[in-house]
Amino acid sequence: MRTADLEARLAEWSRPGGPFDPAVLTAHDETESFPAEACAALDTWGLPEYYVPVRRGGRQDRLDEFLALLRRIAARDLTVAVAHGKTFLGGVCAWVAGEDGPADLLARHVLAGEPVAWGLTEPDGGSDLLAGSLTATRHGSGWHLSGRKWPVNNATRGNLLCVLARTEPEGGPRGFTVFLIDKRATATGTVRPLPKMPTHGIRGADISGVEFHEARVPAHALVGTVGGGLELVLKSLQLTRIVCVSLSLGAGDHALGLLRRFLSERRLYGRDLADLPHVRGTAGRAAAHQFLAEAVAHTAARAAHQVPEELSVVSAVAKAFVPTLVQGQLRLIGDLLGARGFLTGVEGYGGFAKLERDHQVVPLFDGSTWVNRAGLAGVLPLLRPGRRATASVSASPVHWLREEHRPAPLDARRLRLLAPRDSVLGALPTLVAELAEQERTSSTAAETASLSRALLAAYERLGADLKNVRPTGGAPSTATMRLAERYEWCFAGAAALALHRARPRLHDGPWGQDGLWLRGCLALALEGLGSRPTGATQVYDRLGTLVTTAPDVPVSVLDDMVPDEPVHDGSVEVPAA
Amino acid sequence: MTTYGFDPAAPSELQSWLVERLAEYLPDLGEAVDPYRQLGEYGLDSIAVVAFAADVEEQLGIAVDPTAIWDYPTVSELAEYLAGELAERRPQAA
Repeated sequence: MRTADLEARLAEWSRPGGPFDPAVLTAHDETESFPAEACAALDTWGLPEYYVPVRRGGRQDRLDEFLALLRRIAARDLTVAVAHGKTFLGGVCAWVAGEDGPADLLARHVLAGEPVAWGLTEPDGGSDLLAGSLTATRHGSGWHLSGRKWPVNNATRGNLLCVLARTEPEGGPRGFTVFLIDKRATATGTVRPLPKMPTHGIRGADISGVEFHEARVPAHALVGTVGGGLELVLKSLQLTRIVCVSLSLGAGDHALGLLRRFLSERRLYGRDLADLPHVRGTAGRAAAHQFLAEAVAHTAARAAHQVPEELSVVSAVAKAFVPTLVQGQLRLIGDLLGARGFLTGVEGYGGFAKLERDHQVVPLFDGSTWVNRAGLAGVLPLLRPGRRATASVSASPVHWLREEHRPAPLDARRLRLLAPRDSVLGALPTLVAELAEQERTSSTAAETASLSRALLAAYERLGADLKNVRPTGGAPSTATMRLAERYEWCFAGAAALALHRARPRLHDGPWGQDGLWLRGCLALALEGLGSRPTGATQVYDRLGTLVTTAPDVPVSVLDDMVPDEPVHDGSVEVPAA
Repeated sequence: MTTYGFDPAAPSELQSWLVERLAEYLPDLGEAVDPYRQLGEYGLDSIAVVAFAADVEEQLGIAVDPTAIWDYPTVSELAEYLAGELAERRPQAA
């Protein structure tokens, strides 16, 4: 129960004077200083082990668990989650490239507590990886690096840095290569830090840069193949984009916690605030945002193991959709908190203003919302419903979203730049048909079935609109981007339906009774698709009532308390001598 | 079973077909695609390359990774590569 254990430690560390004491973290934010105590506590707990795959000696064997851990930290303090979590990003290229030499070397460093940064962006380059001008040229048996990476998370504090460098003067998709640099092994004066940038949020994080002047790096700094850098980075981003959305889930948890506290304390017109229908409705809507975000994030994390060849689509949807959804959720909660969400240092509510500032970086990480949506828009014509064969039963999300399903080990060799299909949306017609069979059992079952049919109809309309879209080069039109957004909402609704179908536990309990959480998700998705589903007001009202009257029930449909047991992969364990 | 309006095993026919397909991705190009010119020069960005690869994959009924277009960056080279891939597949399809 490592997630539960981390949560218990975090609660302990959050006491006055502890490394996660909100006062300590607020002080770091105000002085723009690194939350070193909190990061050290996470090191001691063993978080670095989760940055290293099991086969390299670490404990990382399932992405859903890693998302749950990072979410817990983000729910306490987003800056700390960003400041510590970057080592996952820094390491991922070495694991995806899969060569034993560099991967094992990096694993040893990470397990020893060394942070690793990931340098992709350059001044003036934006998200365009092909525009990179940091150059690596062969020099003897090794390489010479010259140029800048900026802005990079942890560029100054870390000794290790994974960078994408131009290795062909004319660039192009085969003109870039990934290198893992150990700054300590470079000659004095050849690697210089670029100053930390003042930022709107995550102010304590080390957002800085690095400059190379003919820095000599050894042959073994090469990660993957010469010229294989762009492909390696694009595949690695498919994993990191999914991990990033856990930061949004944590921000949502944090904000919902503050909202619950406020609703329990605040009285207006002689009544509890939650007695006001508008307040209940908005709180319920905020909860539905959280459930829908969870459904997409969790589905994406499981998809990484089961259908890695589809991750180019799944990760783009998750990264474009979830942070944007949570941004909207924070706006709703901010409206309810009123002045308390705006003032800093007031009775503990100052945390809201900070988390809202901190979260604004999440839609930018690892490809902005626009970049991810544009990537999706480019392949939309090929994802049109019915255009491709549907996946086999074992590829259906209902199969691999089952609670007891043990995800297969991550296999980076199965990652592709082009998804052959989308199994999640591919499952939608079946999921809707199955709900229709239940619709006579109760009025709420009929309502759920009706909402799901409306989602399927919206998906079919999207399919019809996609018939007229031709793939083209260049930036997608605004109209095509809007189609991509509709695709994301359909995907999210399908993910919620699949999760509901796969887990009987979610048909019961406070959120699950009468399919309440699912109806909240479907209503929200349909609103995102431009309709006004009937019954939505009542659903949000009931969800809002639960938010306020059952303060001990987490606003979550995921049971993240994954048993901490060894991997059952059929191999025989040999006891240590 | 995929059917073609041309002989996909003949690189020259495959080449003219690819030139036609490619033109659809470059609506602003006022000239025919030169099979010996690097596709990068036509401003085909990474997103368009992925879409183009998917299109070719579906039409030919064989797996075409976008990286194949990176590794065979002219229509002529790509046609030759794809013809080879198709020929390998033939005994299976017969």
